[in-house]
Amino acid sequence: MPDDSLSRMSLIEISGAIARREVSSMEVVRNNLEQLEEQGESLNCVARLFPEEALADAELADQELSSGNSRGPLHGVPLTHKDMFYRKGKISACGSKICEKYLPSVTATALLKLDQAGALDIGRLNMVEFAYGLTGHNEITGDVQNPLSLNHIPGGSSSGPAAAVGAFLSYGSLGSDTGGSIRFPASCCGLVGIKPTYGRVSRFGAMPLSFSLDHIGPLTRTVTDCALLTQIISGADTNDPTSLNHKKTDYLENIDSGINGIKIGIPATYFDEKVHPEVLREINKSRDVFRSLGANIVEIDLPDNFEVCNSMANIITASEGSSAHAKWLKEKPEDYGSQTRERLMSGLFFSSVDYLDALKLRNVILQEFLQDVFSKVDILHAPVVPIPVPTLAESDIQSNPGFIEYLMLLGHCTRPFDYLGLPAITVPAGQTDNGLPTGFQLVTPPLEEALLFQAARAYEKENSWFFPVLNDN
Amino acid sequence: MSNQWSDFIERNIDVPEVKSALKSAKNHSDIKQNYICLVPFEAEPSGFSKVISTWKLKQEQTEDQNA
Repeated sequence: MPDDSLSRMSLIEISGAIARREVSSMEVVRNNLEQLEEQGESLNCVARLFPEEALADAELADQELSSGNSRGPLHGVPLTHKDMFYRKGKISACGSKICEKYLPSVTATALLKLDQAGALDIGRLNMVEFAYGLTGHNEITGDVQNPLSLNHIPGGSSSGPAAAVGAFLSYGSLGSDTGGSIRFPASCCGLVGIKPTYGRVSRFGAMPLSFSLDHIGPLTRTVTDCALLTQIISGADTNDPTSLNHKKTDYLENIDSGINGIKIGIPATYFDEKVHPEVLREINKSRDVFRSLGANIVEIDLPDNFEVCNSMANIITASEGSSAHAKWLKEKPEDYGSQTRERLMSGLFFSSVDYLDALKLRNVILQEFLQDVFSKVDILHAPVVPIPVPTLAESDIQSNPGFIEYLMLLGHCTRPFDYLGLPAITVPAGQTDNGLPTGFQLVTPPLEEALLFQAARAYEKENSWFFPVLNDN
Repeated sequence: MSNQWSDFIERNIDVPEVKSALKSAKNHSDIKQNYICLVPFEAEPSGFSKVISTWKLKQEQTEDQNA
């Protein structure tokens, strides 16, 4: 019988309990595997588990601890990840039929860094086919369910990670975000999720969708867990030439410093006009919380050209995605789900001029955004999911007419920050009238993840309606 | 002028998926046309990573000067 008291701990709590030998890694891993096997099925969030290796690794972790050795802050802690993070010799199906037997020859740098911190990699979680979708539907592997309501979407494309973490089946999980695929499902499932600065986390060994817009980051139940995982996985990597070589900040050092005097900008345009009133209600409540915590809340104008970010991100994603998939689109188009196939196909119809223009525009828009916004405020506060979390049925538009416009609306709030490469964190805000969660996102200038965590943590301590703020000490 | 996909488009122009994909691509391309005048002649895609890195360096230099 699974032990809920173990699974409901935060990542930091369980790592502390293992380190102090209050519980063994073997006990935690066995419990986690049992829960994933029993409850993962109803959510359809599990792609595959590695039980034999997991238990062997747990036994070794316990032996190391009993000898006084610890590999790092996550020693002996089991984690499961989106099924697009390569582990040499282990299948990475990427939510698809085409890769259902794919055996990578490399291991993702992000996973290696977690290994070095002592974490145990015990399985893979379902996702949207090739990470190309925001709702969580998957015609190939079946739809993942929202753990808070089984007929609602969990969001995507990190649908399995969001469902597993939200259902206490995973202490934390790596996802990817190209148009919102960490932040969107985090919001749908009441979680914390961060898309770090572009290049902050190496993309090596993670299935590519769009190499100019792909970001790697964690989904967790608490802000401090998110900060710890981001701390571990970030850093330069010679295997990823786009990774940034900036000095790593300690994201946990000042996380409890509060936000008194910090300037938080509320965008005057673009966001709120497309957001459902129930979502806006919760967004405004969260802004009041920040005000009560001493933040200086100001309305801020965005540059006029910000509105083109969503379209330009679509050009880049479709072009780079279709380039990666060109061979399969020609040889086995029928092996794709219909929606994925159509979105990838649209990339084939952009000219090289369109693609290069979209990349070059990015420099101009980002420069102006930094100048106009972040010379005046420290943090931008914006919505994430513009509508109440829909049911699987009502959002299952597959490739019906208008589906691309629907997806453009869903990604309206998230996609621009993938295009601009700015770090953004989602935090649960409240519930819409259907009882499902909705979140807000905080955005900062490049490489200011520490400030994101500091602000998010301040909010979480004041308003942890969804998951109780756990004792992280 | 044709590219490798011209034949494909010609053969499948009546397929709803292809029609929809073409429409989407045209829509985004048209939107881009309204803004492309902002891009200077010398711009290169690689300038993006410079913008990302330079902002942080500038902030750090400002902080050092103020300290």
